[in-house]
Amino acid sequence: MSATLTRLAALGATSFRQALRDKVLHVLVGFGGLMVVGSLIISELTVGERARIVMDLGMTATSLLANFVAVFVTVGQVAREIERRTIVVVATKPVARWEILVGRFAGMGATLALMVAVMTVLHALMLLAVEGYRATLWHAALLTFTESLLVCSIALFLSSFATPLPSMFLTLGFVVIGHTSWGLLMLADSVQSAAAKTCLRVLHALLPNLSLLDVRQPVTWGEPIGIDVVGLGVAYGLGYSMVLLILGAGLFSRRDLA
Amino acid sequence: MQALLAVDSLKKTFRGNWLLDSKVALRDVSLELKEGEIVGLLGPNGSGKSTTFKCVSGLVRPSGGRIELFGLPPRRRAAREQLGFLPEDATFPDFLTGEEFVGLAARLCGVAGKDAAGRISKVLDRVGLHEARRRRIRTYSKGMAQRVGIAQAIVGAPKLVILDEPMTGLDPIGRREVRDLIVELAREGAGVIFSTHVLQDVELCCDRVVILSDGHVLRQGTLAELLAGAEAGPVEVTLRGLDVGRVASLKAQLLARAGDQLVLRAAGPAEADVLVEAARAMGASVVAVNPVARRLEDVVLRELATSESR
Amino acid sequence: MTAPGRRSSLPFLGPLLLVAGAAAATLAHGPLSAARARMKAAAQPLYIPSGKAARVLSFGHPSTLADAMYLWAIQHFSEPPKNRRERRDWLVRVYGTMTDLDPKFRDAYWLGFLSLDVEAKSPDDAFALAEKALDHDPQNRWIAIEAAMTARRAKRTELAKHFFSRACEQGDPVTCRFLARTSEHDWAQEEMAEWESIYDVQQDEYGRKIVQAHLDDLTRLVETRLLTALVGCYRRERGLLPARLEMLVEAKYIENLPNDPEGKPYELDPRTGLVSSPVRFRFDPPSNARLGVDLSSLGRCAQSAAP
Repeated sequence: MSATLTRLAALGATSFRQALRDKVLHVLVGFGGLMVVGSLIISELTVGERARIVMDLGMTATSLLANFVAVFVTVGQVAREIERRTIVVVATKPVARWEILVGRFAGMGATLALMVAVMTVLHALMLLAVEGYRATLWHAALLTFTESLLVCSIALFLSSFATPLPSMFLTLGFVVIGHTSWGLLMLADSVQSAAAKTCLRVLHALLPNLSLLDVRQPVTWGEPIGIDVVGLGVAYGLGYSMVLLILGAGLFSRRDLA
Repeated sequence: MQALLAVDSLKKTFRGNWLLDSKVALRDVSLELKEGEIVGLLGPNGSGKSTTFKCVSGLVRPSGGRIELFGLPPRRRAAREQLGFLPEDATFPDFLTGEEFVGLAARLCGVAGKDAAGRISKVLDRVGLHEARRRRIRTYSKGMAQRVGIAQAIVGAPKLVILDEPMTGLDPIGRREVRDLIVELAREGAGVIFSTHVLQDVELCCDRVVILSDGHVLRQGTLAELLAGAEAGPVEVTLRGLDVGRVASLKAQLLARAGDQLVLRAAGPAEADVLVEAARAMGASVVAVNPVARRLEDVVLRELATSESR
Repeated sequence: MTAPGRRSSLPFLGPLLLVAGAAAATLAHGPLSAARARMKAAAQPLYIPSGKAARVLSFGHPSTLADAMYLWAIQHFSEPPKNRRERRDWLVRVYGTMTDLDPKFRDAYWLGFLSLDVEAKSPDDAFALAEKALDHDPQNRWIAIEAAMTARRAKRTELAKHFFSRACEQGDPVTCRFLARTSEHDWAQEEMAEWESIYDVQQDEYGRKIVQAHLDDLTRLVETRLLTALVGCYRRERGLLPARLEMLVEAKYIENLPNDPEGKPYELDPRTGLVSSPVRFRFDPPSNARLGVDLSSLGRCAQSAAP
């Protein structure tokens, strides 16, 4: 078991290093930082509710950044490496295919955690400056991190069998679906056919529901975020991620890599 | 002694999109590698050398046949614990430094703790990358990248080393260093199999040679066995007093001209006899008759030509 | 390192972890959805094409899109309109979409209300926006006060009382007093001031008589309403109607009883408690004349009520 952990740690550390050295990440973090700081300036344009604008824009910047990094950097790490055959050298080592995928996930998880933490600290400082700080900001940050982990696992799952471009677009598609899956329930209520209703409800249950992990609006309105919401959200996100990782590992282990 | 690597009737068909455009890469490949042995894998482009290596290293699933590394199938993680592999035209994680990359390979091979730093440094020295070890791989030349690839393959002190075209991108000095490294590894007890298009490299260090063509083994054996069985090579005949314009009628290749002497090449001893008789009939005198040493290139080309004619 | 030939036990954990992960996600999904629904924080989708389309296009960030629209909208606040109708349509759409995206966006409701009322001269749309604000955010008493004040200035008393009552629902004693006062009392005072101004500039006796008649009618109206309210207060406190108006003075509800502008005392109907003038109104009283008297200076019976 310790040998497995050593290998996972080595792969995770490499993935973390790769992410930190990726120019895409630098651009995205720069953009995200600008958005957070810029919210302070933009809020000056408002007639009132300055703190609300800073709170809202800051959380949106963190969420967008985390999700974009989860999509673009993760796909780059797996699908592109398979395409360029950079992964071949690792795959011929005494490393199980599932270890490669889980190691990547661990590295990306560390990257996302660091990013969300840094952005949230910066955001908290901005809010203190406008006297709009709320402790529930950290609840939103934890759920944003969980959401980005789930998006990362979607990207890894798709990368285990698809090439980079389709992986990227499909992952982005799932992000959009994840935030608008309430539309499936609306449609289920509107259709007449019982079979269609059931199909739509099953689809709604199966697809990742990212809006459950989005508490930005309640935090902006100053509403309390119960510990049950946070706990259940983390359990949902991590459970779903685990399923996708295991399925992805199964597909990846059967894949020809060259 | 159990073979480190045993390949028996290996087959591989790559299926294209929608089951169309399938390509048969390997039809029937069998070979073995023992401890301390160096085997050279030869063949033209598309003969199946790289595919054989990919199947052996577990990158690709064979369509048929049997492969055993240390008695285990290559897809098992344990089978690769003593394997060092350098892929063809490899690209490496260019965001890592040479030291970091070899360090990753070491940790994945189970080299850890205090041993690791020393082993990594030693291996990088061995491939001549000590000075450049802290530079990112993206700044390496092709030759340097090839060296770091060899370094990651041997850092785990593997018992079985597979190198797919290890000489690519290396200058003559670099090629000699790699040949010396291969010989050293074999002397240390490892079995090494490598592919190359430069036959001289095989002649200089291999114990056995396997010639592939169109996905199956044409011939395999020791160098001596291959060269002994080969037909006699060409003969160079030096003549004096022969008009250059009459060379074409002698059915020989003009190699050189020095003063009133011409050096001609006949395909074999029998052709040389015919040439000498004809030249004398034209009034020329024979200065020298020299058989050209039999070479592996000739063996390979002859085997390939024979295979194509079948 | 696993001994060669010995399989690791890790692959057998795969199906177990798969089931565990699926179970965690499934078991958490239901309670999490219920907990989110209880928070009522998620904005409800509305069946208005522009709002829904905007929500879909916001890619899960509707409040941010609302913010962006708001920032854009206030930059255009001072631009002269091409024509009033176009401006009104534009404002209705913009603020409608903004508040569809974020139904608790208070700044948008307030600025939208002002824009629609002042700039587009479309008070009905403004009041509709205020109503929408209060439906989604009942605690937003400031929009209620703004709408109530605007309605009162526009002499739309019922509407003013409606919005004051919504503000009063928050328990604010100030706005509740406004509610009590909202009536023709203020309207009457303003109109009285206006008639007095007109009287000052009248050149002939006929004109002055007309104006004086209006002033008398207004005085009559205000004083009878006041006395009726005091009678009602007396009845609430003592359990029975006063027999005479003088009893209000004796009980210290009022210092002195006023007389009709023609000098005649006002009359109390002891059965109903209504106070009327013995002199007929020269002009019909306002058709929306309703009770509404400020008794706050009395220190009790703060809200007027019919006896």
